[in-house]
Amino acid sequence: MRLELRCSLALLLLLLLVAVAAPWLAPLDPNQQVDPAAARLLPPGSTRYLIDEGARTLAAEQLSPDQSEYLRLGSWRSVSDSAPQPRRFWLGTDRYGRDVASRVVYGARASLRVAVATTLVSLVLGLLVGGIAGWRGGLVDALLMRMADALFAFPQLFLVLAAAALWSTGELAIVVILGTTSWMETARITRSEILRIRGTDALDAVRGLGLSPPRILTHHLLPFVLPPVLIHTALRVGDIILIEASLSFLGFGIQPPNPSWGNLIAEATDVLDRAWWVAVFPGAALTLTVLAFGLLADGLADRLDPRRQG
Amino acid sequence: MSPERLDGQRGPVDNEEALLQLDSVSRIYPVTRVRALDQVSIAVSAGECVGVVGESGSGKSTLARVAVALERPDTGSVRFDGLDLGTLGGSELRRLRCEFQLLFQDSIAALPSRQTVGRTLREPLLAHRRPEASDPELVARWLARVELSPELEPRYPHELSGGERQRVALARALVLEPRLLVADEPVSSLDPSVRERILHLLVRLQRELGLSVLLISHDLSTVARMASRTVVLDQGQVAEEGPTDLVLRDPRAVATRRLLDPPTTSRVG
Repeated sequence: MRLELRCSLALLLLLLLVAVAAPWLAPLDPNQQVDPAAARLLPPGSTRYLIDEGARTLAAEQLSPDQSEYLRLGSWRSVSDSAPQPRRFWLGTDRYGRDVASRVVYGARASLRVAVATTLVSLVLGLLVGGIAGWRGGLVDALLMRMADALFAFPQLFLVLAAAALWSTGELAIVVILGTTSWMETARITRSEILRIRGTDALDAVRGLGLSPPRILTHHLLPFVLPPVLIHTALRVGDIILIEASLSFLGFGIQPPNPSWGNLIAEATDVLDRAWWVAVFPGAALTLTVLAFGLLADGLADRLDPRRQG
Repeated sequence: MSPERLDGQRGPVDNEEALLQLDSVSRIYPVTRVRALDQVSIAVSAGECVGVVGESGSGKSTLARVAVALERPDTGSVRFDGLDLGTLGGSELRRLRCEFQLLFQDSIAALPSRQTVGRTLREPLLAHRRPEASDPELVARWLARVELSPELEPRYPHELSGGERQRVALARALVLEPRLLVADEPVSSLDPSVRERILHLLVRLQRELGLSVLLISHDLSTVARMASRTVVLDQGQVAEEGPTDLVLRDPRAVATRRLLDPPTTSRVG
């Protein structure tokens, strides 16, 4: 197996493990606001002493040597009942004092779920529509491609907002809405690949051998159609996560305080000049995911094309 | 226009015993309105090799595609062993395709680029659920039959030479043991020395397998090597037909004379 395919599978497995094991990996509850006044926008690696005071948790900057007093917001106070617990915020905190590491880990769940499900919906629809249009040609092709053009003509965000306003705002709704409004490019690529292959001797040769249409489709069309489609799809994963973020920002999709990488990045825009880490870590996770899918697509394309195997 | 026949008769061939019979076949391409074939009638009997020659654009490749039902004629009929191919349904036609095969000119384009030689040779048998498909010796046997080494089994088409590819394409066309082979310019893209060896192989296999062959070429000398009868196509019509030696010795149609003695400025492609 080629190096890039191995790397991509390892990365995706790692991301999947992080998403599945989020409750065990996340240091804190992702929505817990740890003392917003004293622990907001802490840089990565900061340590605070958490003091449980029943209804609220306080974050102290420092403890006295005998641990009977703590320093918070410039003043020393006595420790009451519970002993202060040191807590390091590896990736810092956001403006509400929430742990960025916990939010990034939990954000992987929602983001990957939405991105993968949406990508699958658009991939299946795009392959179907493009495949039928390219294979049947004529009026069917013209009708399907005009439909795709009409959907292309509208900005996707507008379509998504219209659909979301008319329907629902849950995660499933977002998957269906994003999936059904992002298949057109896949359909275009599929159609053009099929049109290209249809006119070749290779396809006439297998037709002449008496191969059934399903066998021609699976053995002689899909191996050519899939590589460009997969590469395009992999690159779309990042777009979908960001569109989901826009939707969340506009009040649809995954609603704050529940984290997704998209809404973490969106929320970070106001504090980017003071707290780079709030955007950079979810951004890095997103980049890593897109890279993993991109490598996977490239590796699969190589696997499907013996001419690209060195 | 009636074709010139050198056996003393005029008009289209009418052979009730023919394995392949094209009757007054016309084919007009819809967009360009080019009449690629115009009332063409050709018959190929069992075990016979019929040559079809013509210049570029004379309709040879369209004839090959129509003969193996990759294209339907606009008028006329194509019969194989008495069955009108135009009346057959999809699955019936697919089953019947075992009986006739097309060998393409450009083997790099016709062989599946993402399949090994072994897979390519097994695929027709797998598709038709033939028990031989699972025979471990099948590929080596067919490679030997087309004078290739069994070591080529795991190779891809781009790893083969032009001559090797054409031999693999020939083996694939014959692996279903068809009764008719339509060979469309099978050697025109090869070097002269390779061309000679492939023609020799074709002659041998035709004899061994008792194949009927419709050999299509722009080159009369190629056809002369194999075909007992030759049809000359000119602008989609049969210009002349008859025994090959007579067509070569005493050409009557202008198109035939042009093929025998081409002007240097209009050499056929």
